[in-house]
Amino acid sequence: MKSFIIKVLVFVGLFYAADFIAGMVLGHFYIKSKNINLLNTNYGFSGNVKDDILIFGASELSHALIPHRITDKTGMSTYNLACDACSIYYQYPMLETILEAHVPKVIVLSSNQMNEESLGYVTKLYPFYDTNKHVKDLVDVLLPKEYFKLALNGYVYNSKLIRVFDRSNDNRNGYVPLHPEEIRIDPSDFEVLGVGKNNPITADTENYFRKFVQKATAKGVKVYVWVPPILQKMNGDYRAKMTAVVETTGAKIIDFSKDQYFLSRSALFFDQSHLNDDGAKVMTDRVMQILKEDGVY
Amino acid sequence: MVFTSLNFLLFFPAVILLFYATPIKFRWLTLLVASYFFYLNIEPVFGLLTALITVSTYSCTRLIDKAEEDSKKRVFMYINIAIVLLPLFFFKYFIPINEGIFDMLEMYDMRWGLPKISFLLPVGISYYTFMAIGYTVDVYNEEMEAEKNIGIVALFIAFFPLVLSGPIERATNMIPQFKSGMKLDPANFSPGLKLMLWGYFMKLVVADRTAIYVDAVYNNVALHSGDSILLASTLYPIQVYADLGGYSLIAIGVSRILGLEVMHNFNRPFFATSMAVFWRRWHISLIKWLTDYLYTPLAFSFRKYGIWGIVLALMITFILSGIWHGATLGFLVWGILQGIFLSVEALANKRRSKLVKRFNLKNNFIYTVFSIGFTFVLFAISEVFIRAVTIDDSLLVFKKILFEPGPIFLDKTTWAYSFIGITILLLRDFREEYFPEKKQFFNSENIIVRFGSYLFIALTILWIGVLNGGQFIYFQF
Repeated sequence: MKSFIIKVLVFVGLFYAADFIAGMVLGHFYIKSKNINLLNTNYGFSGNVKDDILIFGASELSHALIPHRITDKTGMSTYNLACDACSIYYQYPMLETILEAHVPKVIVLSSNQMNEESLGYVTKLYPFYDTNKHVKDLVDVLLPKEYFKLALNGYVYNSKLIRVFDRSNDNRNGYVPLHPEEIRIDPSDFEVLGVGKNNPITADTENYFRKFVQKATAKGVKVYVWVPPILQKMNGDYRAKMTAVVETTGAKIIDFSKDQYFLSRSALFFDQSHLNDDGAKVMTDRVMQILKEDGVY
Repeated sequence: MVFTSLNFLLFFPAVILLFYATPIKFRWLTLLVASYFFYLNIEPVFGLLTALITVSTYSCTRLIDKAEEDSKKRVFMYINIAIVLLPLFFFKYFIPINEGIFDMLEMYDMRWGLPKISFLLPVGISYYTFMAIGYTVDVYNEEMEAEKNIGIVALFIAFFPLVLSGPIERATNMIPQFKSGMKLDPANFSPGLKLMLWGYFMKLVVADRTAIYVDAVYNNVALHSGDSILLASTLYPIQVYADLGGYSLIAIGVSRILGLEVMHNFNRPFFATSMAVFWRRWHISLIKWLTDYLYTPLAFSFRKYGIWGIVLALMITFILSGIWHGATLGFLVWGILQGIFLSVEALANKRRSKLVKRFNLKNNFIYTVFSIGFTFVLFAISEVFIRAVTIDDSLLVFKKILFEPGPIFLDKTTWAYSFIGITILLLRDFREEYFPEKKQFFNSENIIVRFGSYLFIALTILWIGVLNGGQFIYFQF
């Protein structure tokens, strides 16, 4: 028994040491990664964000607004910080981090952040857990058990090994185009709208969504809550809650969910909930028009 | 509570400590309490079901033991089989039958007066039902005496490593072990932990990672090319093997640490050279159960029909096996296909043996590779009917594979991690199959190789295993 316990202890020691060293090496490369999926996250938490217009959301927005198109026309520097499947739990600590050093003029936030309950993707924040107070606060509140797991670097960087060294990058200031030739949509989707997501909206989601909008507007940022054009019916509860938050904070809703210009043109969509590059150009122009009407530029 | 949860990693060491702190005489009681805690942790009400099956099985087996006439013994056996099968039928088949009636009536614009009912399927019900039936039949066949301690029967039915997904153990193996005074034996710790480590690797690195690709394709069959669907259909049997095989290894490892020997469930199935051999290597505990309690009695009853009696017994056994897996048309087709494959093999067996002998094919490399590949393809074809959910989807899968090839949808990271896991798994199986004594890693006499391999697998699980389920589900965008 004694020999077995010694062997187990030796194994645990070696395991922890190997994990620690591997984590140190990977952490070094992680921050410098040029990977399409990591770039936005690293930039958002870098503390160096100085752009005039910032875009927050998940994939429906990361493929829908083109920063350099906005900059070319308005002269305002723009960065699309949206990332695939990222929920409000990802956006909120990032906003807090940015606001510590810089106050942008405009923030566009996807309304889906109220409807997407995605705690799973909080894993994207783990590499910043030890260094970013806002990330630590959020993770400790929402996922207290993670505190113990995050002692292991392999857990922090789980499944990120290849991405760190994958330099293939189609990322332009955060915008990731979906090429029109790769359309994954059935024309019949345009005839009858799909059932759509009807996720239960938790108190946490609503709370962080409200805190996000309040925090930004309180700093004087003009916040636009962008409702995407998608080929699915909208969950009524989500719309009501999102509207209530916006009305009390002075933010503004820009709603494309019933915009027939988009909903009647399949050539602008990649799939049911994402615009392709052609759709993104149209959407960017439409959003810029609204900014112009509001006197932003 | 499942084996892959953090809760289990805290629960199991606590059970070990409690187990060894308990006097040997009462260790079965510690295991029983732990088992019910484990099972109730999933859904407390499910515990009533295991308790009901325990009471019924205990009472009926005792009555079988006491009855003197065979007819009476048989009646008690059938009563218990009916009682324990009732919840299984209700929970597993009520909803599909009910919905089938609804749909059929709606086709004729008729409305069923009762509302649709939905409820959770008690986890593991199929497994402990089969174990209870096996025990009852064994007592009836006088292969063992009915256990007098209801606590031991309760432990046999609810034993936590096996209750969720098997292996479907026999009372003849487990009950004597529960009663034999489970002693602390450090010699069991190391092999138990090795089995658990490899089980976690199969489940978290291979099965859960491969599932991301398979799910992404199969959840949108209409939008994917035939080539992508072919790749997903090839990966799916490997996913299932790694999933159930991994889970079984963890169960066996946990039992081993507690000093209990449990039967193995998989034996390198993808190196089988025929469907008959495949079914001796795949989900062994289920097939052994079906063979002993269904196929053999059926084949015996149909013996006057010669080879056709065997075919009939095979068809019935596998159709019932299909229905056991689930109450859908897809599972039925799956069972029929397995029955047909095995029947054709049985009918062609003599000719095949003659050919093998005549051309000396037994050790022929090309013949072996062809046989392995052909067996895999047959199994993969049948698995489409399980994975595709509906028959229409299954037919669409075959239509797309045959007539609509196209670019393969590949997510680099998921594919790379899957490839690493599958390669390690298949290489290990290959070595075990053909060179069992060579290139040992976990069992190497060289301590550096041994510890190095433990570390490598443990770190692989931590770094590339799917630890929180679904973190890259969205990767197709």
